[in-house]
Amino acid sequence: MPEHPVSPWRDPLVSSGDRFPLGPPRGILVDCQEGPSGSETRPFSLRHAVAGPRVDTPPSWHYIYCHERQIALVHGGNGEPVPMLRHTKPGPTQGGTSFTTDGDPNNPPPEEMNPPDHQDD
Amino acid sequence: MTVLILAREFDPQVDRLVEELRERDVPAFRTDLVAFPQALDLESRLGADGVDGVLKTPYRDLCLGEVRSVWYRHPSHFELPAGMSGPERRHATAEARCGFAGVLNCLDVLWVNYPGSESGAFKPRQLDVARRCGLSVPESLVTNKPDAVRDFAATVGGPLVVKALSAAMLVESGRLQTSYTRLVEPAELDDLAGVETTLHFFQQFVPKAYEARVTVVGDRVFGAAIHAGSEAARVDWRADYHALEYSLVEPPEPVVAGMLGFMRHFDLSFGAFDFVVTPDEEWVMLECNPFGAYGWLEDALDLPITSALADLLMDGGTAR
Repeated sequence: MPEHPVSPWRDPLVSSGDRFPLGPPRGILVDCQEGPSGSETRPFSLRHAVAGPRVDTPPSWHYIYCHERQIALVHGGNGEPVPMLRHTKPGPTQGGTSFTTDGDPNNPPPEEMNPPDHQDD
Repeated sequence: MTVLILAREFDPQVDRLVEELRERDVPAFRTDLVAFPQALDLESRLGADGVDGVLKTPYRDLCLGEVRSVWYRHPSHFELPAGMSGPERRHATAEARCGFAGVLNCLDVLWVNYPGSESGAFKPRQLDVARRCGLSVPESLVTNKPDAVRDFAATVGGPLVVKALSAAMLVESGRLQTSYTRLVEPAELDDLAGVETTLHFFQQFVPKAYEARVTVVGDRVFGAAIHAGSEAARVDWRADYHALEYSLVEPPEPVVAGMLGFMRHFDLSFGAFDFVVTPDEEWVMLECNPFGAYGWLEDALDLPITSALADLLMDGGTAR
């Protein structure tokens, strides 16, 4: 075991923003129309990046946030709002929504795939 | 006593926890910081008697002294009033950030996870700590020098992968782009243009019998073996979910001890560890995600992760 753990609060490489990381508002990534630069300046790691959906496409994950229950609701088969996820049983989700997995671009981006912090300005 | 949940409104895993707590009659206060300052207020007094205060939404109040634990799950950025100038917005953002961080930092309760704990957990540092905790890790290289990549490839003597050091997603031309971990083709070693533009993360490709996602909640361990059924998934299982099958797996005891040591080092109460399990049954740690998704594995394998998380948050205490 390391004997002297370094607290992120003392780590000079951790910015003050990183010490209180926040994601993009409502998890929605900011649209950027700028395209790839060119082979001279494009990072090697992006050479085979996989294109996902357009970010201005209306998301398929419509929901209503219920402030009373503090959970998201979707419209069930009879039009009534129901909890987005069944709580105890595995299987497909009511309302046709899908679960957030790690890195599935068809879902809202899981926060762990996003940049660790976000600031518009 | 209340569990404070700072998370986005759309987060099915949080929904599950809220429902679990409701069934246990444990009060929860869930809010997203995107509501600040339109629909979320903070009032906190600091003085001779210490720190107290209240978080207010149009729907409920929370006295900070009533907080038993906090689940910090990447809340959204503040949505400041329209019409602010750029400098005003930056100032207001910094003030809000320091104010929330400063006040909430005074809560001497369990945090899952403490803001900032993850930030020290850069991938190279994770691997170094993991190694010192007794876990096997792959040979890795961080560099912006193409020649160093070629030397590394020669040393490793097998396939390499390139993977993101930070975020795997970006938006270009209005479209989401994901840079999954991928194999470096041998021919690419002669054409490494772009490596010199920034730091890159190369690793030896570890032969896989299967991969494992091990979710650790406090000291409880939930192992899921991930069996890839396509070439893309065999390199990065996130690249092809439809080709995956899951089964329960129990990490060996030394691996569990290593993970728990790792979590202590980074002050984590929750972590999602990714391992390669080799054909020789060696467990090689790739990384730990302090905010890893787990709901789909909970569904697939009936793992009681939400329940364990509820147990942890109910127990409260001061874990950091």
